[in-house]
Amino acid sequence: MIFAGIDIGSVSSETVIIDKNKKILSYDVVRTGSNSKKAAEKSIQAALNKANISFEDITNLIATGYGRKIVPFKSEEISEISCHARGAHFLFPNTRTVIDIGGQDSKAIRLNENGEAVDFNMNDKCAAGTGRFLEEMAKALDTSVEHLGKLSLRSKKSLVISSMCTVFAESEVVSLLAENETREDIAKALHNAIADRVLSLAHKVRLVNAVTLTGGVGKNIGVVDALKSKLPGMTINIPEEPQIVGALGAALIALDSANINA
Amino acid sequence: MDKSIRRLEFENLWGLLKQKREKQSSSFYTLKATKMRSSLLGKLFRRAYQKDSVVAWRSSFVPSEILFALDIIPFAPEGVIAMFANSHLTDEILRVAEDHGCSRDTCSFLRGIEGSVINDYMPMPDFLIATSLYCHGSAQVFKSLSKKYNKDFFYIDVPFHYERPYAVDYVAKQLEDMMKKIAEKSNRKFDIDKLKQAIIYSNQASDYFAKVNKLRMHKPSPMLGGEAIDYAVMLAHTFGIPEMVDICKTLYEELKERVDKGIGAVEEEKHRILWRQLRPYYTNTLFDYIERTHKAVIVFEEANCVYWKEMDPEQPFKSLAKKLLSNYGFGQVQRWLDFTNSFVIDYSIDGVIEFAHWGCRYLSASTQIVKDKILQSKNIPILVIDGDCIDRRDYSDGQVKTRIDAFIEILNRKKGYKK
Repeated sequence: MIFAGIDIGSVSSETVIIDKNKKILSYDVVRTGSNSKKAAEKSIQAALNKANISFEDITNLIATGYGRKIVPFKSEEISEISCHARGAHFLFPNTRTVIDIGGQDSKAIRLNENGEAVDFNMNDKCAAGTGRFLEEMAKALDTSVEHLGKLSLRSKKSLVISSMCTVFAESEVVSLLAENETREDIAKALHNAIADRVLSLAHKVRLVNAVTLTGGVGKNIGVVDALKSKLPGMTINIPEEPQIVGALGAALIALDSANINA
Repeated sequence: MDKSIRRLEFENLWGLLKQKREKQSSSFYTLKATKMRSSLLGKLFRRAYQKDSVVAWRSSFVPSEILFALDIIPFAPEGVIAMFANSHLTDEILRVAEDHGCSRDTCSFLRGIEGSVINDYMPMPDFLIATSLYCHGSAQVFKSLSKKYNKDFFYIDVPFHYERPYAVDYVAKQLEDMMKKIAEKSNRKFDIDKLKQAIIYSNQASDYFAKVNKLRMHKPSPMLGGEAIDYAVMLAHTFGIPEMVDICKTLYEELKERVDKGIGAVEEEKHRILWRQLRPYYTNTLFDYIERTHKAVIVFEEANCVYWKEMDPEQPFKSLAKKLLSNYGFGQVQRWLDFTNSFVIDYSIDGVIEFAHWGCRYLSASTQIVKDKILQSKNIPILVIDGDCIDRRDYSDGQVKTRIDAFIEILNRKKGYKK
């Protein structure tokens, strides 16, 4: 029996396919773009191709993420809170707090010992402190978002970006460049600012060890480094593919759900 | 200023209504009492625009009993802004306020009042009255508007240390002085017997409303929160007249009948929710989504609590002072926590939802303490929705629904429901 989870985010869409033993058979990540429905179809098709199976083989499929309601072929939809909690706990059973920094939102989820979400907090309309924010800041620093993390590790001087509004932060970055501050130090300051913002969400759910970081920004070593330095003594788990944790959680819930119904 | 200007103010408002009104569906108005309530509030609203009415603008908690005893029409600008928001008139009104320099970071109830005054939508007041309870902003806005209209402003100072021995006499004297002064200025008779009668009506109405609240403890809950929450506006505004007694009595009888017959507000009630703070007034779909789609019934709203004791008509000012001083949201936070704690127990609450109004630091200040001190020890989940009661630009339906879905999933798991 085959189970699938699909996570339609604002920036990227992911599909994860697992078997009845919870083994990941394949996964895929695509840019969501302007048509979430098409992105969903594209992502699932790519994952099916990689696993060399057809859609009919899927026993149960759960959709999550902000676009979960428009996925046409789902069995059920579950919020991303429950899916991230499930996925993170599966990968790291010691997880008690999930910090998810996605494309346009970030969230903190506290889990009980069974891996179930018991409290959560999400950012509001503003995309500051998310993947989209980093993309804009990378442009201002004339680099790629992939390179931004490594750049910040070479920082020698402590700077502060005080504004978390994407627009104002960009003008702060431009001012700092004009003052001959280095790109390395500015990148570090940006990552610190993101860490502060997401930790303020996490402290409201009373952050507990261990922390698992999910979402695409988890790939950014600069943000990971900033979080580690602000959470001394705490374990921070980083999944190999932090982007697919929500979709993995959805696939696991699809399996749980089929077992309950069986 | 000539009071005939009220006709023009009403015409201005009418013009805006015809041009901009987007009526919200109110499918959760299922009770006769609710229709009676709307009709009473509508009647008072229209009378406030009449030339020969004496109108007192009052902020929440100013005792309406005193005004009714003087035949003065109470007008609650904050409540009226909520009504305007329900018809989406506030899009225009807030824009006007911002054009005149009001910051979007300030409370939208107060910004709405400013915008409505600038565009002459509000009936010119004869008096403006505010208290020190909860909101300092409304007192400041009223004070500044009293200069614009050249009318008297009264401020009732309710002391933070409500339990101290001087507190009752201190507040009672302010109320008595105010009533005398308003009577004198408006050529109304200071008739203590009329005030005593208003207190009797107030007691009768609050007695019925307390019984209503008790009926809502029943499983399944006989009333939707979406219908109940707007009673809070009336609770603050219409005590002291027989019509209010009729409404509360009717509401009690209607709910009693439902409870006796075992009729719940929704079929298959799954969760029981306590609601903190007010609601977004520009959308009626949020409550429908929580209560009808998810079967999570809002069984009680803190704003509807009858927190005061029966008043003694023979000591009307002292009684009204005690009513003001017994407001649980005022004073140390512990007092509020004790009330929330008792609501959670009395109403068999499964989860708490708080709609945290943007710009109100007062109401939001207790949220984390409630979460840490009460709900965590009882293992009761809380969802805090940051939003704005009036300004719909700060509301995203999809984001709010995602949070509600996730919250309901937590409640479902706790109860072992699959979905």
